[in-house]
Amino acid sequence: MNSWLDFEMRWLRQLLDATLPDLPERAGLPQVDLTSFWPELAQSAPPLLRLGLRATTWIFTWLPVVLPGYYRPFYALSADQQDAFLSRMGHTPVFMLRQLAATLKVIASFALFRDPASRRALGVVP
Amino acid sequence: MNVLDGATIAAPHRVDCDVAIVGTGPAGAAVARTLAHAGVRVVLLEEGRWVQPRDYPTDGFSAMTLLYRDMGANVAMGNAPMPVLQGRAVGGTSVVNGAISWRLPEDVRAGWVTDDPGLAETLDAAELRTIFDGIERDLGIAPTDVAVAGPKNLLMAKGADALGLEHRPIARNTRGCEGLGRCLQGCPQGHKQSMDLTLLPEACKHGAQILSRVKVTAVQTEAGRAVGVVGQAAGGGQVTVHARHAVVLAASAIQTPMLLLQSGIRHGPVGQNLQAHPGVAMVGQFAEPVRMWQGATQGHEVIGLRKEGIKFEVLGYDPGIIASRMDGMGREFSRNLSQLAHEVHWGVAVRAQGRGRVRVGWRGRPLISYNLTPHGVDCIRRGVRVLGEMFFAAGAERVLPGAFGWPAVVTDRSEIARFETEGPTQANAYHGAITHLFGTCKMASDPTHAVVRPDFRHHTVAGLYVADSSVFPTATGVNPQTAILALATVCARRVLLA
Repeated sequence: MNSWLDFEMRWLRQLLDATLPDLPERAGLPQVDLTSFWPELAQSAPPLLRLGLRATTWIFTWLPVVLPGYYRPFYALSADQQDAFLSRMGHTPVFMLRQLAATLKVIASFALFRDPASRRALGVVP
Repeated sequence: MNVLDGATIAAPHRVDCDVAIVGTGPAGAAVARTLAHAGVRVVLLEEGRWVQPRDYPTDGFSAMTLLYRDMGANVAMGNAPMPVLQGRAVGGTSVVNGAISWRLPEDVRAGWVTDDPGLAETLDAAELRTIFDGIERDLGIAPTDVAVAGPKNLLMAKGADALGLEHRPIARNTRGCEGLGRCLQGCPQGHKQSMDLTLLPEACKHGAQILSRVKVTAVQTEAGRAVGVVGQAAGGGQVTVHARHAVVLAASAIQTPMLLLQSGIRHGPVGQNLQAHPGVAMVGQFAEPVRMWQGATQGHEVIGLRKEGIKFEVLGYDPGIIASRMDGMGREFSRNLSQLAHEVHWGVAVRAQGRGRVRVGWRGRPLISYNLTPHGVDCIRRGVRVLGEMFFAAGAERVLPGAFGWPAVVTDRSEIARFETEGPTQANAYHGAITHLFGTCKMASDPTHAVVRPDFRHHTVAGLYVADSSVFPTATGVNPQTAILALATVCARRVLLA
């Protein structure tokens, strides 16, 4: 992630936040500080995962531009549209896109459950 | 323990010994202990760091970055890309596995000997029995105590009983297990009898030395004989270990063939014949909270279909990993997290017939290829059906097969009963993982079809031995740690005889 540009990191963060968003009854990933998460991920992730995450970031940010009903990049979509788009990616018959969606879920889950407050909120002790 | 951290080695560093061992997992530890007891001067080299149990992280992500190779995200490429899970620490994968212990099944041993009678002496049943007895005694291997099993394990027993399937508490190498459910992150209490807490300290007590955070880059040979290894320390210095008597490779079925290939030792089908136990997890949701992160990590197994190449185990990992397997994206995914405490994951592992390969890839990284065969997919379909029926029999309200092309959530038992015959047949419909690897430096009498001889010696390089599961002729169909320990002990005895 060290070579990632600032805007790429912003796009990735938006995708992850939308993958595990806040709910009225519980905070989601948007409330978690990922400052120390990124360097740990950057140091340990193998090249294929880093490549996959970058591909996910670019493809999922720009794919909505050509999809009927969206026609804008992911970051310009409303929260409802972002949710619908990600849900569609999670169930698409296109294997590669499903894999990219699964990558987002894995990273979002790791990030959420690395946070002690989030673990406690979901009843996980320690 | 006598450990020199490679991070402190910034200048060229040379060590002389009798036997250099690459890898500190079960194979390397077993060889080191046997040789050190016999008075042999042993040096072990380990790419990972030495981590004390009190320093094991609480969460799954941090554990994977600290204790797993490539944070468990190295992928075997093929018709169903699957992550390959391996530990990387002093103690190897024994630090992060589920402590599951199986003797080498007699039918597997007999099959190997039938296929190659030259293996009969190495695989002598009586000698192996004696070795297994000793390993089980030394590592406290015993069936999981019901008092620490926790609901997820007891529910599998209930489901298997209802279906009339043979099942049992898993025998594990633990002492005083409290059921913390953290085997896969490293037991913070040191109850799991991993190599860093058992065989390695014993070897060090008898003079062995461990160099941690040193990545071995080549086996050195002179006039057709292995004379040592060279490696790169985390501190930047080059490490040279000169071995007077032998070099033993015990770095796993991925790293051992890699090292041979990188050293220009290409005899035989090195890196080929990769066999594995691909597995998939299935989710059951219960009305009452189960909290699968509590209780013995993997404490129960169903073995009624083992001889058909299918085995079932309770799984137990950190909620961060459990969550990633939940259905949905976005708000649906967030909402589903409220079900986390109600979920149980059970897995099916398959003695697959696929043959993969390990090559040296970009920047010296392993390039692993492996395909699920139609037989493997059939076994998974059957396994998913049986797991689903076990879940319902145990009282689950819903099951999540996790197979693309099938309803994400199943509430009707008849729907899961159809899975074996009507479930998806494409390999990539399933989210699997590979945890047990074999065969990439196959042991056999015929040098054209093997890398090492029946006595673990390399077919063409004198003084070079392979002791890990890469020598296994086939997959074993069961968790291999104890079999690796036993065969590595036999390997050490052959080194002593040479």
